[in-house]
Amino acid sequence: MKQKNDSLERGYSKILPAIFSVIALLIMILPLESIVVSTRSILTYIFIPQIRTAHSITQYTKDALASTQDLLNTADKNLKLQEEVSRLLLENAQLESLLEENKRLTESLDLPKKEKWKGIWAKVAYREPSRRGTIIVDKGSQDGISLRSPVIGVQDGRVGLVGKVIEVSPTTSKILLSSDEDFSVAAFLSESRKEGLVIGDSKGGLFIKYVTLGQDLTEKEKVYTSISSSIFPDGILIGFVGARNTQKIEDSFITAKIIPAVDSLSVNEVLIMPALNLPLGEKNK
Amino acid sequence: MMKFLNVFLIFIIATIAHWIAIEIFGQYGIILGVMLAFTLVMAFKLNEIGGYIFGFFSGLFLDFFGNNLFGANALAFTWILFIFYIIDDKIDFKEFLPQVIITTVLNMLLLVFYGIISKFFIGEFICQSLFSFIIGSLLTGLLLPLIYFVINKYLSWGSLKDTNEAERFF
Repeated sequence: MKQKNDSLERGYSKILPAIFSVIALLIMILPLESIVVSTRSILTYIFIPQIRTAHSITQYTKDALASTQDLLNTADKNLKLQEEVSRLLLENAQLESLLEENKRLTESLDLPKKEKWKGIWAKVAYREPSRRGTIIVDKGSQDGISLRSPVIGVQDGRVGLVGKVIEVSPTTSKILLSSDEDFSVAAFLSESRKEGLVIGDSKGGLFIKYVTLGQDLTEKEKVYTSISSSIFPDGILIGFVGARNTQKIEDSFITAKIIPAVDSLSVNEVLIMPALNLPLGEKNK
Repeated sequence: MMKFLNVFLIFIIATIAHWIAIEIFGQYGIILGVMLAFTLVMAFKLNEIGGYIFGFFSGLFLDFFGNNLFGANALAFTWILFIFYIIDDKIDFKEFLPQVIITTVLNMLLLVFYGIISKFFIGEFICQSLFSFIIGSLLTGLLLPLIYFVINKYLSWGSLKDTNEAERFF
């Protein structure tokens, strides 16, 4: 019986390729287009769950890979942040001791105390196309903002000068950006220990004028707001001295380009600090 | 009956795998012969009659979702299986290297057969790009051991050829 089955199977397997070849040839030769189209439509309906399954499996795999990648990146980032936190904690401890020392020395020398920078964060609500040197923010006198309030911003982890408040309404304020040609602030050069006047150049840049002659300014030297400024608290980073400038014999003062610490034209969020002191008789608009 | 359902289930899984391969490798212009890989594994697992039937329907399935010549894949698959069964006795298809080499070569042959058939019937040699022809065939070859492993282990049939004749499917 088994032998008979074997021989039968061997027989079938010999002729089966020929049978299937003939069937396949007939399928190709016969005008079956309409049947094929109909069957294909039916099969498409039958196979839709499979196509969807295949698609969702692929999508799931892609998502899983992306999530894993994200997870790995997050772990890596977390590690770096932990290192950063440790470093900052150390730095903070060091700064605290320096602050203590500074406080002690300030008290012993009877110097005026420095206030911490406080203020209200505001978002840029509107930029005037006609005048690029000003922006409107979404906080106004209702939020405690007053005229001539100093405005600072953060960019690339750097805190820097953005401008000052020149108009205040109950809900909005207009800020004159440091890049505007009408803007000026008394500045202090960190290395050469000289003072000057930083003015906007209307092209988004700044330059410092009226720096007394003497030693050339150092490139990338930090420029801060000066203690002599009537609007800005001292110590706000304005920018860095740009291309190395040279003194000319006929010059009475040094003039140098300043690279702004914060690009005032592209900030989206600013910190508006309380105004230091308003000139006598001037009220909030 | 149960075993027939198992074969049918594998066929369905093969179609899903085929679409997954299209979705993943299609974007790089590579076409994998997933249906051929499944067919070769099943041809090895089943007896010749079962193998031919599985192969013919795999080809027909590709024809149904192809746009060119209906029946060409079914014919090409039949010829490939014919070749496979000739060399089957001479090689050890359970080993990794023969699996990869044979599948790669047979996939290339399948593409050539399809091209010849299309040239004969519609006057146009339909073929893939040389990149897809080589890389697709090689990847199919590398895919087969995985398919073989999955079918062999997880459905825990063992090689049906080693079992009693009565255990065979068809």
